[in-house]
Amino acid sequence: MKTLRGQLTLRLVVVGALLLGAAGVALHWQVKRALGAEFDAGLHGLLQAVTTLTEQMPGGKIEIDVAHENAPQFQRERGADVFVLRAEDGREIQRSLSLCDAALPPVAGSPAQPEFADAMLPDGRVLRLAGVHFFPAIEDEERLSDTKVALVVGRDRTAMDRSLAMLRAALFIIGASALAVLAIAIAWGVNSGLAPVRRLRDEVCAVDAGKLRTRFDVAPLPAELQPVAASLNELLARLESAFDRERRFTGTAAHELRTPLAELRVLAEVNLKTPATAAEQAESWRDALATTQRMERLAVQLLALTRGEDAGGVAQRMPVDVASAVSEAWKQHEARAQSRGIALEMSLPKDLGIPSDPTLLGVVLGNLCGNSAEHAPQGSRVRISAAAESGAVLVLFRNRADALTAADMPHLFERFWRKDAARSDARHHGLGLALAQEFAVLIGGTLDARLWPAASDSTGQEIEFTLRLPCA
Amino acid sequence: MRVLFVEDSQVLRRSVRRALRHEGFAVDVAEDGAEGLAAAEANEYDAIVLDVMLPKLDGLTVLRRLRAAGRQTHVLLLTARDTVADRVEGLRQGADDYLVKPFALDELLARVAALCRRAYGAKESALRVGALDLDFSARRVSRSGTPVELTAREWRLLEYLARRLGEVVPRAEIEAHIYDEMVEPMSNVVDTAIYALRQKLGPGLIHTRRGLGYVLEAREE
Repeated sequence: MKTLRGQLTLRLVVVGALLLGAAGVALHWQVKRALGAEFDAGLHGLLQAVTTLTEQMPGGKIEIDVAHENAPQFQRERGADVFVLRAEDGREIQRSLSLCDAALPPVAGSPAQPEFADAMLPDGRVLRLAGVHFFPAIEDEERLSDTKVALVVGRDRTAMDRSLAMLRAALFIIGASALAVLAIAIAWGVNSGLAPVRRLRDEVCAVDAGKLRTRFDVAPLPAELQPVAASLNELLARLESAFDRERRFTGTAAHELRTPLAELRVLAEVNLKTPATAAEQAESWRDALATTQRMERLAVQLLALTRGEDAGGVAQRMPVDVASAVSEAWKQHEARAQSRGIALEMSLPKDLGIPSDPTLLGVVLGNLCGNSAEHAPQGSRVRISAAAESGAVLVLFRNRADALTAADMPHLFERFWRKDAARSDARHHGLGLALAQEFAVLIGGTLDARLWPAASDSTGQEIEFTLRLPCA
Repeated sequence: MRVLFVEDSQVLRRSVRRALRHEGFAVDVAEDGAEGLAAAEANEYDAIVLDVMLPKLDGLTVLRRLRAAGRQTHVLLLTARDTVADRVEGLRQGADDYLVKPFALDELLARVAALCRRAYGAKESALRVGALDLDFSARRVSRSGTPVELTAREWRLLEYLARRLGEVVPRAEIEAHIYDEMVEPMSNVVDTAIYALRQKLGPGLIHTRRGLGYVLEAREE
């Protein structure tokens, strides 16, 4: 498995190895060059010495005075220093004893700039050669011979090569050790450098559904991790509130179901257990029916809410006439409004059309009409109006609401919220406005509510719902 | 035994009252917290069944105010909330028992009966008064081994007297504990019931103290 730590460590170790290798190669090259230059300088000196020992004898014979005390090394068999003196035509004039019978390749150069070469003798000696063409001096005379000769001197370079090999071995061992130490240091550094990531990971792993209250401490984290932790904190906050909402919703839904269930159960048990008069029996059936209807309404609304949650983006768009949609919605609640003596005052322009989803809009308007018909005080007036306003159509529902307080307003659209939350046998579950607002958002609109002082008198107040629907 | 049932659901109010009456309890009902608190403060109940979620005043507040006023009436909390935290909260506020909706009617009746028994500190489930044997848990009574058939209300009356064996129980107290607000005030229900009970149990058990009340004890007059 790929890990950040593994990859970082590997890359740093590879870079470290390359750098160490390059440093080793450079050092080796430098030492080798210095040693070679020094060796060549020595060899050059030897060449010059042998050149001065080369003389033309009386009688024209050219020879090197190997018996000279300056050059004893040439007289040892298989010695470190060798020479061979050739005539210009390649004929060998003289060779050192140390060379034995091995042949040296011709190497030409001028006395000012001798030529260097390497050669390996058949007996295994590796030699550095320096060659020069020159006119030897004539013995006891101040002038040079007119016969040009070619002198090649050689020196065994095994010692230098061994030194270089030892240097290479030393560099390799030092480099490898340094690399090992470096690798450990890198591993430690990466590991401790990534510790905040690991801690954050552990904290994140520890968060489960029950610990959504957890927040990560952002300040002590490195700058790169701070935005991550901050985003995680925001995500957790959103999750927590979503979970809370869901828990509250489930809790309330369960509560809303328990009461009618208790009613049905007790009704059945009482009727099985105790003798009842005909009137009591009829009353029981009416109670059972009312309870069942209440449960039915709850189930339908809960299903609608769930479908609304799933319906994100499936809202249709077709031309809808606002006036007729509102009238249609009011019809469902007309009977209830009339029974409560509520007068309707509708002012809807005829030509207001919007593209919307007629079904979802119907649910929104239906719930708003139902809310007014149910909660406007008996004998009061409900006013519904509509108007076009900068790219939107506003539908306003207004009725008296003396019981509501400013503190109630934030809860108005909460699921299961009711002004008198405890009424178990209320006709409504407090889902209508929640449903209306959620569906309004689904069709691209908004639904808000405000309290106003009543227009008719100074003491009362009115609630106004504003449904804003987009025109395009 | 007189019970107050505070519940905002009309269906539950009606049904449970019917069942409790059938069991011989005197039952008053209240539909919100304020009404319940007023009734609990005005009358001597043997037990109160209190819904937690009530309009006007919630059940826990009613309970707290009752306890603050020094009322030790046994209270059974009835609620749709069933988390441990809810139960703990209820018991901490001074509730004696806790029942979660939906509930079995028999369980509610049994718990109310148990609370009423606790109201008189009675733990023994049987009692012998002269030739009379009372079995409180089975709600049976027999005289010299012969079972005596009593109506639920007659049984409650006998039980009430038996729990205070040898004590003179004032007539008004009997009326307060055995009869609920459905009964006409100034009626002679208590005298009538005592008379009926005497007829069934035979002489020498329920005695009248003129101007004081009644007493249950084994004594020849």
